[in-house]
Order: sequence, then C-alpha cells, then structure tokens
Amino acid sequence: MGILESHQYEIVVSVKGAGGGKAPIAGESPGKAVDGKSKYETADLRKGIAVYRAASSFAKQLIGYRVNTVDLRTGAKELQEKISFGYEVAQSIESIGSSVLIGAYFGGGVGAAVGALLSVSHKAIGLAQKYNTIRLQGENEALSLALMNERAGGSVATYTRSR
Amino acid sequence: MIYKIYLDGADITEYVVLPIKTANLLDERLDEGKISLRGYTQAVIQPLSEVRLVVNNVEKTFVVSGDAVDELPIGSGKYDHELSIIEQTKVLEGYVLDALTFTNALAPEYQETYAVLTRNPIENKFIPPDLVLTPQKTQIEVPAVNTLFAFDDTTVWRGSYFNPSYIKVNVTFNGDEVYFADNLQNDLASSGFLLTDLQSGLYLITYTMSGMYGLLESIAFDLSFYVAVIPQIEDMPRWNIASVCDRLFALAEPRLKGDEQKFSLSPLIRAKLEEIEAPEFAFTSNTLKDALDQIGGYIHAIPRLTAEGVSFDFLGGTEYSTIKDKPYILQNISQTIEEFCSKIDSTAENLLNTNDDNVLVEPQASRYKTVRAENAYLRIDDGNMRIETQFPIYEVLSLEFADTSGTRTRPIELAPYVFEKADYDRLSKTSGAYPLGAGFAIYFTQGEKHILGLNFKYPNAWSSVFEEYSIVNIIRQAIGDPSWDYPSTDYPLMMFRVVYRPIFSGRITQAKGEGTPSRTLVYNQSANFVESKNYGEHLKGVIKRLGNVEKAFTFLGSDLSEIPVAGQKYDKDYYIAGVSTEFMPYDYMVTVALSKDFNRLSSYIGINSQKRYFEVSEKAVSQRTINYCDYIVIGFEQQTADTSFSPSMQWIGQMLSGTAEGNPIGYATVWGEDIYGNELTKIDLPVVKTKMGNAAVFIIGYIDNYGAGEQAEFQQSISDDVTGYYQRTVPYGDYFGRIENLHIQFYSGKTTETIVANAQRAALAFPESEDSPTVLIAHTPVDKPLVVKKDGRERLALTYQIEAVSGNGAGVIIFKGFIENLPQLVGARHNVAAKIVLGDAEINSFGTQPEYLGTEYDLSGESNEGFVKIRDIVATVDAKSWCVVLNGEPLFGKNIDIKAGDTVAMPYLTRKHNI
Repeated sequence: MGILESHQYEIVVSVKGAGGGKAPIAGESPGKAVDGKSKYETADLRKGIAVYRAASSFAKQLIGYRVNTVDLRTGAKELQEKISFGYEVAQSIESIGSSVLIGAYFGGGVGAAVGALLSVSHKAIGLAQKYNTIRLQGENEALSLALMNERAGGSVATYTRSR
Repeated sequence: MIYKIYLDGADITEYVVLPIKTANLLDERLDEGKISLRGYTQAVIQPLSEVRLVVNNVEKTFVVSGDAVDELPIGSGKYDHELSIIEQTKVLEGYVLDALTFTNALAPEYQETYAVLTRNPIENKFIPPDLVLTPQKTQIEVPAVNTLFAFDDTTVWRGSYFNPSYIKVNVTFNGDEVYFADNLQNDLASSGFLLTDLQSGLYLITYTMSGMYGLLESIAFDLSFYVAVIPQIEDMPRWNIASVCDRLFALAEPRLKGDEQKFSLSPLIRAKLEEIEAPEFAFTSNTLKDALDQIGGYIHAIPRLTAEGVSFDFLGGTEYSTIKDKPYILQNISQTIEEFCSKIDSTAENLLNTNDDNVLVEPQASRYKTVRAENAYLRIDDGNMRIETQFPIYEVLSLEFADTSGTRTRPIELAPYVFEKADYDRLSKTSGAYPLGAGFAIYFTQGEKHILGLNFKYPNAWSSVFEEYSIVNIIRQAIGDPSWDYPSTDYPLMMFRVVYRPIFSGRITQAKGEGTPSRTLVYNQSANFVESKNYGEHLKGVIKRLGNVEKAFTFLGSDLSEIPVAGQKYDKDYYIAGVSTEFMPYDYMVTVALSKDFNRLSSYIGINSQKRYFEVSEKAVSQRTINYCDYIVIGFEQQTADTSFSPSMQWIGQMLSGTAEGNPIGYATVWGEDIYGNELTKIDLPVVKTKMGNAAVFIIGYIDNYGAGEQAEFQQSISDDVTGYYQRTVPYGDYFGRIENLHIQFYSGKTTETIVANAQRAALAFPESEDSPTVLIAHTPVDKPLVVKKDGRERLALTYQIEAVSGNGAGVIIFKGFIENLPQLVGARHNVAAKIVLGDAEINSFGTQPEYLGTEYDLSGESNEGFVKIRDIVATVDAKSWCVVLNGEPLFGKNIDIKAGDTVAMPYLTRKHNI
C-alpha cells in the first residue's frame, strides 16, 4: 500500500480577527476612495488579504514541510515528486485564486479576469519556454549523437542484436 | 654415405671432418648441429651464413650460429673451425614487428527488431513487432492500417467496433514529408504500399485516424513507427591462421607497395591453415619468430622456415616411428625433482568463459534478488536502486524481472533493453523510444559490476511526474501493456535474476593422477583476459608433461629413412622429443630422446575476441609505431638510388654549396587507401623532428585507433533552431578502421605571415588537410605508398628516419654536424659553402671531434635526385686524413695517408633504402 493510501494530511489554520475589529486609524472619519469604496472598506479589504496571506503563508510552511520530507521519511523519491507536483499545482491554483481575489477586490469582475489571465499566462509562458528548452536540448543532443554514431559505426545500438 | 656441405653456396666438403652432428627437437628450440672444418682458408665465417647439408641427396638448410676458430699451424693462413649451425628458422628472430593486432569486423548483419513507438489505443496494445527497424532492404513494405489491429477483417471495421471516418498515411524522412495519402477510410488496403528509393536515415510512418468507437464514442488517434535505414557495409572476411601469417610476413619489413617481401607462407600448408579461424591476436613488439610461436601455441604446432616458405610442424601426431623395432645400443633414463610433481597450483586473474554456456545465474536459477543501493547501510530507494552483481560483467545474457504486482506468474525477459555503456552513451537522454532513447534502456559497463540506469527519466516541461522511470517503460514495452504501473514506494521490492558472463579470478589446481608422491608446483600465467576453458586445457597439458621419466635410446644405422622425426610417437605413451644424429663415414648413430605426453596444449590462453560495441573498437587500442628508414650512403662507388621516398639529394648538394633555401620539414599530409584502392581522408599532422645519432628522425602520429584529431564542423538541426560548431573526430581509416597503404608527404613549415584566403575554413577543418601553401620536401611516390595494413585496434604512428652511413668498406667517419645541418631537419642554417680540409692528424673513429683543422680546399661537385658526387681534389700538402667542413663544423671525413700531389678521392652521397 502506498504512502498516499496510508496517511492523511489535515492542516487546520485558524487566524482570529481577520476582517474584524476596530478601525486602524482612531478618529479618522470615513471617506470615499476614487473607485467609490470607502477608505475603511478598502482598508478592511487590504487587511483581509493581508491576514489571508499570513494564514496562507503559515499553512504553506506547514504543508511544505510535510511535502518536502516525504522522501526523507519514506525513501520514495518518485512519490516525493508526485506530492510536490500536486502541491505546486495546488499552490498555482491558490495563486490564481489569490490573483482573482485581488483583482476582484480592486478591479471587480474585470480585475478578477485580468488577475486570472496574468497568472495563467505566466504559467503558460513558463511551460512553453520549458518545453522549448527541452526541444532545443534534444536537437542539440541529436546533432552530437549523429557525430557519435559516426564514430560508433552505426546509428543503431548493439544490443538490438544488430551486430 | 655421400655428404656434400655448402657454405653460402660454396662447396666446403673437402674441409669437413666427420662426424657431423645434428639435433632435431620437438619443442620451441630450433634444430641444431655441429660441423668441424680443418684447414679452411677463410678465418671469419659470419653468423647467418647459409649452410646446406646434403646427405645421400637429402638436403637440409641451416645458418651459422657460432664459430670457434684456431689458426693451425700458426701463421699458415689455414683455420680449423668448429661451426655451430642452427635451423634457418633462426632468421625469423632477426625481424622485429610493429605492435600488431588482428580484429575481426563486427559483421553488421542487422536484424529486424521491435521498435514500436506508439500503441493501438483501441486494443491498448503496441503495434505488433513485425514492423521494424533496420534491415538492409531496398524497400519498406508499409502495412495497410487494418493489419495493425487484431480485428483485421475489414468487415469488422464497418461494424460497430471502430468505424473510421478519416484515415491518412504520411511518411517523413529525417523530418521531411516524402509520402502522403488521405481519405483512405473506404479502401483500407490502399493504406499499405511500398516505399522505395530508400536512403540512409530515419523514416517515420504515421497513420492518422478518426471515427466512431462503438456507437457513441468519437475517437481520433495516430499510430506511428520508425524505420531506420542503415547503409550496407560489405563485410570483411574473418581472420584465419593463413591470413594472419600473410599479414605478418607482409609487415615483417617496412616497405613501399611493390617492393619485394622476404617471407611467405609455404603453399604446402596454406590450405590447412586457411581452415583454422584465428583468435583476435595482439602481438606487442615481438620478433617475427615470437609471433609465429604464439600462433603455433594456438594451433598446437611449431613454426619452421623451409625452402618453400614458413610452415608449421603440428604436435600431437599419431604417426609411429619404426626405430623402436631396431635394437638399441644404449638406454638412458633420467628424472629430476625440479619438475617432479603430483599437482600444479595456479592463481589466475581476469578469467572469462566465452566458449560455452557455463554462465553465471545470479542469485540462483530458482530465486530472485531485489534491487540494492550503491553503498552499504543506505536506505534503498528509487534514487539509488540498481541491479547488483557479485562479479564484473563481461556480457549480459538474460535479465528477468519477477512481477508480483499482478497475476503474472512467469518472469519478464528484459535483456534486449540492457546496453553496454558505450552504446548507452549514444542513446538520447531527452526523448526517444527503444532502442534510440535512454528512457527505454538500462546499462552495464564491461569489466564493472552492476546494472544501472533503472531510474532514468526524460525531462518533462510540466513535471518529471509525467515521465516514468526507464525500468517502468521497459517493463511496459516488454509485456506490451502500457497501463502497467508500479507503486512509487515499492521500487525497493523489485526483483530480478541476471544471467551473465562474469570476469573472475580463481586459484586452480590440476592433479597428475593417483600414484605420485605429493608435491605441488606453483604455475602462473597471465593475459588481459584469460579464457578459462583454454587455461584449463593449458594446465591439463602442463601437469601431464611435467615430472615424467625422460628416456633416451641410441641406435646405429645406415638407412637414412629410419631416422625418426621429432613429433612422431615412439610408443603409446612417449613422443620423440629430440633426435640427435652423428653422421659418420659409413653409418650414423642416432639418439632418440623421448618425452611422455609431450604437448603444448592451449599455449594461447587469451580469449578469442573481446566483445566490443563500436566497429572501430572503443575498448582496446594498441599503439603501433612503424619505423621506416632511408639512408644517405657515403661511399666511393657510384650506386643506384633505390628509394624514392627520401628527399632529393639536391638538397644535400645545396647544403654543401651553401645555397639551401626554405624551412625544414614542418608538417605531413598523410592519407590512406583501403583494400580497394579508394583514397581515405587526407590529414595534416604535425611533425616532431629530432636528431638521434647519425639519423634525422621525423615522427608523426594519430590520436587514437579511429581518429586523427578533432575538427569543428558547422551543424544545423532540422528545425534550424540549433546551430553551431560541433566537434567531430576525423576518421583516418575506412569503416573498419583499417588502412591498406599510406601516402605520406612531408612539407616545409611556415613560409609566409600572410593570412591566406581559406585560413578560416582550414582552421575549422583541421586536421583534415587543405591545399598546402608550402614546399613538398619528401613523399612516397604516387604508385608506391607505404604498406601498413592497419588494423581497427591500432593507433598508427610513423617514425621516418634518414640515417647517414658509411658505404661498404669505405671507412667514412660521420660527424654529428652532418645530420645537424641536414636541411630537412634545420632548414638553411648557413649560407656558406662547405670546404674540404686535409689535416695532419687522424680523425677519431667516432667522429666526436668538435673541430677539424688543416689546409682548406674549395668543394665542388654535382648533384641530382639520387646522389651527390664531390669532385676529387689534388693535395698540395701531406696529410693523414680529409674532412668536409661546413662553417667550421666537420661533417664527414676519412683517415687516409695523403701525399702532396695525390689525387684524393671524394665520395658519393647516395640515397638508399636497402643497404
């Protein structure tokens, strides 16, 4: 039975006061921001995001610790890769969610879309670049292998019983 | 009895006193004899002088091996000689061979191999393995698409199983489309066709399909496979004993094509030797005799030089001598404790068994072993797992995986996916399927333990989790089930059984048998790889012949035909190992030495050939240095120049007249030709020049057995996205790394500082030769290249020498200044003419005087391609010697009493190869 089936990970993060409590600036009268939200509203939202980030960071640290020590605890490097990848995907989704959240707060629906787009685009470009890098490595390698095959006296390896 | 004895062709019978003694020996020792001469007029008889002994018209040829001479009576000018003679085979010891190897071609008979790249998604199976990689075909039979499925019946295709709405076939060659056909869904058979006009490279055949899978599911997929077309290389015949001997004789003396070779194989034995396949011999700077002895050790025979050529006397014959039936006049029996033994004890390393099926199964025929880690006490995981072996691996024959993850009860054979490191290094590490990519391969290194590479993964843009370990890919492909999976945490539980040829060491004893008092002798032999079967036979032979009772019988007779020959059987136990004969006036006395169980079984203990993976071996390289020597003979006879390799003698004329120009030899352009006379790559090689004694030495060499050096070559990938200058080893031999003949041109060094137009191209292509802007100084003639017969394992180097020697009986003393001023070595060192000096002192015989003083005369003469003649002078003073001096440095001279008014003969300087 694999480690995934035999262990469950549950991480509970509780941060008191997120989004609540008194205004941070005593005596200051509420005003309106340029986008029509009151200064308090904006400030509260910012605080909410800040608290979310704090909680998120704390959770990441705990999860990351557990994720990064799978190999050390079990000796399963491939499992480590798989869990790490799953965690990265989750983080990416969370990151996109976060971008959407920030975009939504500051830019409404359009802002959320832009946030999501930026995040996804960033990932897509990175992926395309990595793919292209591997392709270029392959082409570079193919040119070297062709020369090596010339030295070897054939393009097919020997254990195919070709010789 | 009638005797005739000839010395170098002259009849000397009248000087010979009887008896004449000869000994005919069975082992490596050569036949020998003694002849006494009385009152012979010649004092010195040189070693290697030919002696022909004819007794009753039976002739045998010997050479002189030694001589003890007394002048009797004193002052009479008559000499008594005790000549030692030895069979002419001794001559073969006087020829030193280059280090030579003999390597068979790998015989590139490519076979069809399972090389499928995609799977049939409907049946979830790989394309069946009859569509393949490689064979040397003139056309590829591209199968119709429906034959790729089990449900080949086209009526089924129209049924509910798979109903294609679109089928396309296209073929690319090295990335470029060479065939395309689509809308084949209504005529499935037309998707099969013949692809002709094949070129070397990779063809990718792809079927693109879409349609309905069942009633509801729409499906679209590709099936594709590669066919690699490989050029057919004409195979080379394998080495046999006759062809090995032929090559040895051809190379016994360095010579140019067309020059006569001294030795050849006796036609009487050629057919027999052609039947015996040779191992891959390697002779390391042996004499010709040593090399032939090694061959004899392999075929259980002794080499002999006969009038017909080189032959072999085979041991272990069954012919009986008739001498046993005669009454003997003396019996002698001896035995010594030195060889007396009941057992021999031998420790041998690098043992290998390549001859039979006695291979190592690890751990056992009925068990498996899980993977292990690199170091002791480590946790075994998929990052360090490997298939461990107890012994270094020579060759993997089988690798079985026991799959416990499902219901499979039989092990899975993975041997085709196990590569030797040399081949593994040629697999792509970024992509590719079997047998082109490392993702479908694991490997071992010949001579090292363990099978590695189980956890290799291709890089993946998303994540490595989308790639599988190579061991998983391999198992999936081996069982034809791409859905097979293995739990990530269970890799340490993977179980294997490996069958391989190990390289091992051992301590072995061989006993003589019952009845011998206990006494053990140590007996050790070594070789790079020792074939265990050969070594076992060798030890068996050794213990049989050691410590036996040696017997000798002496007989009197007059019938020459009754004299036995070494190697014949005396009785069922004893061979005749030696026959000593004393020829007397009317009869002979023969002593027959007997040896029990005489043999030289398996003197050759090496393996027949080392398994290698590259056509031009990547495993073994042997340095072979050819020494080719030309001479400048300084003598008083006009001779014909017999070499056309060395530089023109006009250069020497210019050196003496102070008119030499240009630079010394700077580099060589060298190229081979194959056995068909095809010209191979021209290579520029730097030349190391030095002076050694009276010789100018020029040394060139290649970097290894395959390449002359690394050049930079512009390369461009198929997509054009990757370009650059790649390092390529420039081959200097043919496909097999062989060269039949070698053309050599020595050029002068730098002549100008100007950067010529093609400098960039030449700089990239180096060491491949470009047209030379410098002066050709010495070269092998176009139709007379140097005979090299290079083997694929030999790294070739050449030492070319020009040595100054005194002519036969000329007594010319050569100073170091002659070679030090040689224009080919130093260029135009002085622009002054040489002088002839008559001195009143003698020159010391070693020519080591730093200066030579006396009366100077102008030097004049004539020169052409073949020789320089210095004009004689008339002496104006008395002198004890003359010397040619250049700018104060003595070059060569002679001690001779000269009187004023004498005409002093001056020498010829002639270029020669044979002196």
